Amino acid sequence: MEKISAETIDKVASIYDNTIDTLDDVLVGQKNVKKVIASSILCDTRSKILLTGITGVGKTTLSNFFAHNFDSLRISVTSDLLPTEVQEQLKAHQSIRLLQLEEFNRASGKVLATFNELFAEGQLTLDGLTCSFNDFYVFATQNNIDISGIFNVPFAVLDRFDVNVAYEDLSFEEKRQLLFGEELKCDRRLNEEDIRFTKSMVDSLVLKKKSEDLLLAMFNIIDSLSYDNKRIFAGSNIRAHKFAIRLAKFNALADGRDYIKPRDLADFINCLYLHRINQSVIKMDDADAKQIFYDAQKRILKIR
Amino acid sequence: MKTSDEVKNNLKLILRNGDIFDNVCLREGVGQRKYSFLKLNILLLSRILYIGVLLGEKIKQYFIKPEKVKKAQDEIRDVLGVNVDFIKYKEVIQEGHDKEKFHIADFGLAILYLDDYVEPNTYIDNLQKILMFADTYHLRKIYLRINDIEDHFVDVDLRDFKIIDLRRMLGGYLETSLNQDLLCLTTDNLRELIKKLKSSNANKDYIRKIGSQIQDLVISKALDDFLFNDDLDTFKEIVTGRLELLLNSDSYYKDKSYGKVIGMVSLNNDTVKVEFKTQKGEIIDTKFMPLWEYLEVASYEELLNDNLIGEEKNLCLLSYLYLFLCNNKKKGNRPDFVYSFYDKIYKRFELKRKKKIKKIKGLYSKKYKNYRNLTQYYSSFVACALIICLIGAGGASADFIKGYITNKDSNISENLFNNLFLPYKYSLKLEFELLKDPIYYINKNVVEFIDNISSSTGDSYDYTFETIMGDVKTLDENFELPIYFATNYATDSIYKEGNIQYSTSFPNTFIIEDAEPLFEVSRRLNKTILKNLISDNRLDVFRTFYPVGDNYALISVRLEDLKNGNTFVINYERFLKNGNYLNSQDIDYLLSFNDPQITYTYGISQKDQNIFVDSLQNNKVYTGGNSNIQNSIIKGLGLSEDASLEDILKAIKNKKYSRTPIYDHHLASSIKLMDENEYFETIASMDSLVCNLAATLAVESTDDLIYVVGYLDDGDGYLSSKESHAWAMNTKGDIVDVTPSTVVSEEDNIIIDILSWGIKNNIHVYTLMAFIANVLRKKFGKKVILNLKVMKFNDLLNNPDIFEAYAKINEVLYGGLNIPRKSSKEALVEKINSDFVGFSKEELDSLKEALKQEANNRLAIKLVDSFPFIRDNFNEIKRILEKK
Repeated sequence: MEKISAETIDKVASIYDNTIDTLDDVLVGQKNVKKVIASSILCDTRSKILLTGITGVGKTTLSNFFAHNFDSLRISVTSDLLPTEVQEQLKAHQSIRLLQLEEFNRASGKVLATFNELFAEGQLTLDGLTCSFNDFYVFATQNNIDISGIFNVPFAVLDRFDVNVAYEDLSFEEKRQLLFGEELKCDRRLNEEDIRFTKSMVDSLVLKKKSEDLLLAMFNIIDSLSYDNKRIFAGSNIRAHKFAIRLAKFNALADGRDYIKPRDLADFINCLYLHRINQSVIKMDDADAKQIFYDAQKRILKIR
Repeated sequence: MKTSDEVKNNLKLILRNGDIFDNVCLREGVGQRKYSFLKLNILLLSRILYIGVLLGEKIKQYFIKPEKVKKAQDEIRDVLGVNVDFIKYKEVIQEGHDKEKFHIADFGLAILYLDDYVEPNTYIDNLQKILMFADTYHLRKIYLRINDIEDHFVDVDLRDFKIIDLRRMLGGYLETSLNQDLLCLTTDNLRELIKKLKSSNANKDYIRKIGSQIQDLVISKALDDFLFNDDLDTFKEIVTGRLELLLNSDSYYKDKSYGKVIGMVSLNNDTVKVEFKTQKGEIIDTKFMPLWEYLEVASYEELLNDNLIGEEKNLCLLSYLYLFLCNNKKKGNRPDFVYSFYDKIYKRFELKRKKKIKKIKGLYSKKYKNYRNLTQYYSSFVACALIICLIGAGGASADFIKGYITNKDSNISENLFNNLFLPYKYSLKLEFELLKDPIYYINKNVVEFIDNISSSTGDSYDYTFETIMGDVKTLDENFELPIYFATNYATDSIYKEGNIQYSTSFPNTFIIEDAEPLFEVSRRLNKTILKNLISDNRLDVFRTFYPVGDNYALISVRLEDLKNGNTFVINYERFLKNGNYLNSQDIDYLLSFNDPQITYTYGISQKDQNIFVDSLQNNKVYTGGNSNIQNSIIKGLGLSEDASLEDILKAIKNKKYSRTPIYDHHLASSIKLMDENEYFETIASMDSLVCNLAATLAVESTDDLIYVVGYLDDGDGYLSSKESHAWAMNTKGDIVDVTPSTVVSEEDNIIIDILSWGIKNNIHVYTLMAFIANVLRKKFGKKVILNLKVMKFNDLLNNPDIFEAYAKINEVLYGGLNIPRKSSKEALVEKINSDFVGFSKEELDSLKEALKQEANNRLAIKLVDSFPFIRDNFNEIKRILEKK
């Protein structure tokens, strides 16, 4: 495989910067959210993103923005939604590039099974017929406080989501801007070509052994959370790690590098692994889990 | 009539306010009084006021009468009928880690009730009285001792109330025996507490109520006895016995292996011990359980269940009565104790007054005192600062700035020092001396005193207070005493930061000659100096005063103890024999001197030269002779290049004399920056000189003069520090003293100069300003310094190559391709912080080393140096950068 040239890296970086700039026009604040989403979108063409937050923080705004950029389908999930309804709708939109799922955690078991198949295999089985889909993004939103009509989304389904983006609390200035400032207007659009380009770059970036060792060391730390102290199943599995590598690679490129630094992963471990904790096995406080991940983050940053 | 009144009023006005001329003059500021005396008085009074405050405190202390307060408290106690203490709010120091502050009664009064042992009912009555009193007079806090309540009542739950200890409440030190836990109650709390106490009060009525329900003849008889004679112990014994009997009356059980067994029950307080025995008396099992559990009821209160009937009810009631009596504590033997805390303190106060004890324990601690003083200090400082700042700061700062601008040569710190510190020092000294001996100083010596203090700013050493170095006494009345007494001569000179430093030496040959003694110089020593003089078994008497002039020589050295007249003499004979060596006997003898004095006796040598001059000739040390310096001096003096030595010396001598020439010329700071030639040129060009500078100029401008230090006697019979002098000498012993003889200004006017200068410059305001500046520096200094540091760091960030440097650091650290990404400064700082937050100092050092070897990028190394700073002050840096 060819070595990536400096110009290419520069281009990836500028695409990333542009994307962040564009997102700045969509959403006030939420720096980390933007970073995670931009990276996830640009590093792969079939990222599945779960947006978690209380009402009114801009989950739907963001997913709507992406929906406008791509050929998309929006399904508002309710507890009485039937799998056949989902299948019907999807069947009619086989060429979609983005699937928008509103209030995902209201889905009933059967609907979740349908989604599971769709996410995992990129196909649906309907009356014995299988219809397959191209690569598409998934933007699912869920409200973590609402309790009416909520099902526990099984671990297997949650695991299909590459990242779970939790919205942050707004700072004072951000609140002021939201409430009294000008309304944001975004005229820019994302370019599909760019995304394909960045994805291919991520694919073609071959890591040196030093970077690989670094990544393995980081994964070891996260794995050790699962297996060593038996307290927490940190959701670290090969699928998660694979996506983590993509994200790390992309972030290195976006920073103008062809090697990995601890920071490339440390920033993302909450999004990558927190939702993969098996809630049915361990009843754990969210804050506890976050603390454990925070500690892990600190350990990761100390890797040399 | 009306007009005449108006006229009267107008005339009064003119009389009061002055005529038009006066008013115009006042308005224009012409001929205004200068209030110099007022200012001078304020200068002095400020300190006298301080003494006044101190005296005032003492007087106030004398007039404070604790008896009055005691009487007041006693009178209230009489009305109230309870022995309570009244506490006024006290500031409480925060102690230890507990940040909670206890305020008593919100700046009002509170009641402390420590009880004599009284009946529970009386106690409750007392509390009710206190409650009423507190309600009537709006006392919001009541303090009760927890032990009192626990002694009187059973099972009172005090968890709802706040508990503090007496020591903390009074904020002072309390000996442990006095300290106790208190309940801190509001009136509402007290009401609640009274309710609780009433319900749990173990009084006779309650025992009667329960006892009368028990249908048992023994118990009812015992109850009657108890109600009659109050003998609780006997009653309890009877109840216990009866209960045990009842419990054991039906105690046969069936056991699987042993068959019929007997359960023997014994009581101990609320616990039951059940021993299971076979009929043969063999113990097979022992159990302990609470009584109510044995009776198979859920709890203690359950024993009063109304649903029970017959014998079972009897048993339960009896058990209840028994448990009640168990928990009802007996009157203990309590120590004899003055229960009122304040009574105790007052008692000690009276004992102290009668001088039976030395110290009253349990009063305010030192810590508390300091704390109070601190608040006073701050408040007085703030008040003072406000007033004086408002009135004087504007004008004063203007003066100060003007002074600074006109005085460009000196730097700001020196200027501050000159303007603030020195005058303050002088005025303090002046007052001190005036206080010490007013008549003496107000007399003619004021001039001398001022002379002294002005000399302390000179560039020679500080000889503010005159120290007498030696008494000169003539032994032959016709003999004229020498004036110059040399001590050392220069062997080498070094120029260093505006100062010529001479290394000096004294002659090391010592001749004692038999000659007629003419005069002597004696010097008082103390024991340590004497000890220092005796070193290596020798008496180091060379450090003497060498009279310069004729062939003066030392004849003898005499040490005497002024206390008892013991003497020790080294004369010619002794010196020939032993030199100045001492044997151990001599040393012991000398060290026993209590008030030693050393006396050198001189005469005129017939053979040899003066010992000092002789030494100069033998050693031939000249420090001068540098042609560059000579040229500089000639240039500075304004002479032509071919000027002779005589011209030079004359030019120096013709200058004026001032004790503080460098200070007068505002050169004190700038002279330090000059090189040697500049220095000499500057010194030579000054209008006025002091002796050592004049001598230096003379010595350096030729190559056959020697710099000599010693004393120039003014004929007063003693050599003092004030008479210390420097001059030049040639090897023949001729004195070349070029010290100017014309004095700069009339010394008599110095006092007026200094005082008016001090008053003019508002020295107190300056001192205050310096003080405020110091406080501000302490408060905001860190912030300012951080800002400066960030500004410096900002310069680094503004470097266009900074992003390349950062990329380089990463490249060295991780290897591989790294294209510098140019973003904002803030983003870079954030990135640095996140990337390098975990790096230890060693790791950063090794990174720097690697950078040096691999990339040799100076900017990158500089950036790495700033990493710890970024990490420590990340938030502040970010904020400051964003502001900019």
